Amino acid sequence: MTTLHILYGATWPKALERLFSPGDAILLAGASVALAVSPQSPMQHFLQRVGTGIRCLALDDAVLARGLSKHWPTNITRVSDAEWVALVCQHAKSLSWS
Amino acid sequence: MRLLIIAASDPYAHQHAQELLDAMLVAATFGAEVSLLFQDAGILQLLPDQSSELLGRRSLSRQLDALPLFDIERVYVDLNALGQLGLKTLDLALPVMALDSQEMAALVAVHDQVIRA
Repeated sequence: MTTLHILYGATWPKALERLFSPGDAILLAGASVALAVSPQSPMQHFLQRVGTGIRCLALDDAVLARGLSKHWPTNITRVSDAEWVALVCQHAKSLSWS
Repeated sequence: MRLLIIAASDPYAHQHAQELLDAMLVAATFGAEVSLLFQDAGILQLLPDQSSELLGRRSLSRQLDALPLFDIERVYVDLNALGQLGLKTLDLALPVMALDSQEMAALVAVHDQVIRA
């Protein structure tokens, strides 16, 4: 029973760390894509703590719209809108963080 | 009247950034001396190569290129927030001056009005 955590806001929701279970995934949408670009961001620290097994993805359109491609980290895969729908289907639940 | 605009919103998450830019240009048109400070997610407004058409929106970065036409030439960025995003001033589309906390406090002090969005 895994959860897809979908982030929209520009601020890392610290409470997510307390709700996160093994197998859950994080999808960055909208303004939240900015959380990925700094290696020192709270989100990147969380990903490092949880380990390599965690899936973290981002909506490609949200990245391109903000001109962030040049600064994009290698540990976060970019997905299309169609892949977003597939991700929602792959997880038992989706939880939105705004 | 000296007006300080603090742009702190993501460029496309909602309409705040666009509305603030519109308000700033109106103020400049009516003779206000406008300075512009970018903070937090607002710094993303300054990145080049924005493909905002993917979201059906006008590019903030391209509109900001027109600031000199409105005599808005004092553009600043929050140095600490820039670092938190892992960016440098050279990554930005406009020439900006990066300010530390003391310098930003001084900037607020010398303006008559401040609008932050």
